[in-house]
Amino acid sequence: MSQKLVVVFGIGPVGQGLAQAVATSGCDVVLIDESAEKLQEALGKISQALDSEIARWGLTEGEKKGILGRIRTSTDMKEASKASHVIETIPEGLEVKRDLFRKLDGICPVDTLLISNSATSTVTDLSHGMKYPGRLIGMHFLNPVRKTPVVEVSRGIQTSDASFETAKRFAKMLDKTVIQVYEYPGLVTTRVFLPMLNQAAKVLNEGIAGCEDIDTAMKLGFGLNMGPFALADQMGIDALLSWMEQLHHETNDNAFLPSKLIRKMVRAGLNGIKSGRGFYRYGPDGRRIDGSGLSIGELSAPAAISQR
Amino acid sequence: MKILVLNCGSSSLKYQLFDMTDKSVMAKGLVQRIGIAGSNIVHRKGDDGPKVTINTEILDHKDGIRKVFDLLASADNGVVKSLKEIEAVGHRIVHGGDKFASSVLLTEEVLQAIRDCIVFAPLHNPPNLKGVEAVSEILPTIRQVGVFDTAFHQTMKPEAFLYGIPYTFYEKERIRRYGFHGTSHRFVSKRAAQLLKRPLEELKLITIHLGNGCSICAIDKGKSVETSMGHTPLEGLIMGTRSGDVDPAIILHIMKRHELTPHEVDNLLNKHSGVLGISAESSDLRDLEEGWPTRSERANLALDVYSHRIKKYIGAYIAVLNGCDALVWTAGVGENSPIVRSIVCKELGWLGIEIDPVVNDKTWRGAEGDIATPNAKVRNFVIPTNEELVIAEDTLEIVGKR
Repeated sequence: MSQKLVVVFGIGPVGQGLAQAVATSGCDVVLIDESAEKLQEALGKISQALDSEIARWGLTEGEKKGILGRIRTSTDMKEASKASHVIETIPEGLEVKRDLFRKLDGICPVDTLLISNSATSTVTDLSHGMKYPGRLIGMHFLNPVRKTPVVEVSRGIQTSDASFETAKRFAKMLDKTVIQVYEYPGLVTTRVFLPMLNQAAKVLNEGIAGCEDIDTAMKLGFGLNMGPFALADQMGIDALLSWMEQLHHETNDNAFLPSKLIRKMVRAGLNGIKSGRGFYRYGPDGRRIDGSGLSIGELSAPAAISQR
Repeated sequence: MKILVLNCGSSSLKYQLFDMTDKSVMAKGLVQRIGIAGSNIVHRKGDDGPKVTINTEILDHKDGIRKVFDLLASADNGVVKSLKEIEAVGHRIVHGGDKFASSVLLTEEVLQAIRDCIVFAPLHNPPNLKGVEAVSEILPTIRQVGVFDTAFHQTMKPEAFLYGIPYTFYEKERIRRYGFHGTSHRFVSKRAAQLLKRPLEELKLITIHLGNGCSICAIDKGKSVETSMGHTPLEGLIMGTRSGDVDPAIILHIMKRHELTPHEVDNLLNKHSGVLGISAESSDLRDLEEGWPTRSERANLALDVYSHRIKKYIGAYIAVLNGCDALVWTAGVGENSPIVRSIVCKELGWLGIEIDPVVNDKTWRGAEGDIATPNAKVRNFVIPTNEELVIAEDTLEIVGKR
């Protein structure tokens, strides 16, 4: 065992959220990406996220300073050679991820735990070509990482018991409840949520109920914190579409066949909170604008594109 | 006899080595960032020798404690020739629940009972236990003693420790007032008896511990009969960043209205409230006192609310005790803030409390003394606290007995 230093690849919302969560737990973290500019942008977003926590009394200014002080950025992937844990949160894509893990396998000492955050590629698939596949494990953190207290841990055929134990300790450090999943694309959360969102989008598209009403019905009806549309906006519509396509390909189950509305939205750039608009519209601070739920008319006319 | 005192936190630990022949501090220090990159030990010989910072990899508590032992016996920074000279280790343990009314020798059975108290202090007891376990792995034969923050208050009666909520919460989950800072209240009450030259067993005392956390304690014949901190250290007096007493309905109202999570409201009450929350300037009384009373309206207000709460408790505790021989001020603010002491004691003459402004103003920075006017019915002591020494003394007494 060595001292903890966590390296995060990928600067999307999950990468940012993980860096923030790790630093909040008191551990140092290095965020790695090829683009120094994007890294700066990611740091800025983390700082904003911390500010909004302060505004909700969840954090103090002093704690924010401490947290930011524990986050470094780098464009040099060799930094991973000093890490105890390396997590990948780069965009989905089997080949890119495989390639990253093959490289990390060469760079990192054998006892470094390598973690994939992928929900759609399995650990066994990702480990092809690794010399030490026993240290690769799947930990699927959900966005927003800070608020979602669960992580889906999945082992590949060759993942070692030691790696599994280390992963469990890592989850505990971040205060996340572990659920164990047999590796299969989509794990539990993505696999169950996508068909629900698909159906909700169909109900909306068919004009059966309005956007807000569908969310309210699911939220209050089933005691959820958020309805499917609000959740989808948070997760990113483009990411959801690509997961649907992958799972449809993998399972041949038409429940994953993306609804036309979702395709239209992605085509029009309505990707959720990150693009300012998805099923709802959002202000620059990421707050949902009241009464801004998507109505079908908006996307049926050619005006939809020019509106952006 | 040489005794090591340890206070283990989640990623840091403080240590002090005492020579109990004259109760002097041989060495002390702080291990920081345990298990985190950039860890170090800040060490000094004696009570105020020059600081030495040793940057070294520290994997966990055991590794940290091993390095502390190595340091204490090292050629250049050490103070003992061999670790065999250290005969016992005393640990600060935050929560002993209602299982411990005094310090105890740490046996496996006792450790299990402390583990059972984790539910009451989930952030504090686990690292305390890690420290004990680490020492027994490194020096399996050394005797260890646990000194609890809660133990001194175990003499409170049900009328003082029960809350007005359904009894089942007490019965099934042990939800009740426990109180904290017990080591400090006990230490200064004993010292007050010495200063009064009377046996503790015939005294009624009110001890006021004002540090980062603040609590006040009514002590009758040497026993705690009432204290302001409750099930957790959040209740009672207003503190640097903690709210102290609050109408519980306010919390529910704020949570609902602002859709706050339990974590957020916990932070609101523990880190954004108190003197900091009222003044919006600082959590440190020294900052607010600078330029008092002309600094700012809110700084004055914070000081006034802070002091008023203390005054209110003094009145309540005089009633609980049916009298009072002396007030005792201790810890950072209590020892060093003539301003707070003067605001609190203003217009308490009817109760026999009156302080001499000149003596009050010069009794600080480690000074001990009586700040009451010669004719005041109630004595008014400032007594520097020393919790580490109490832990060392308790440890000596317990291992000496065997």
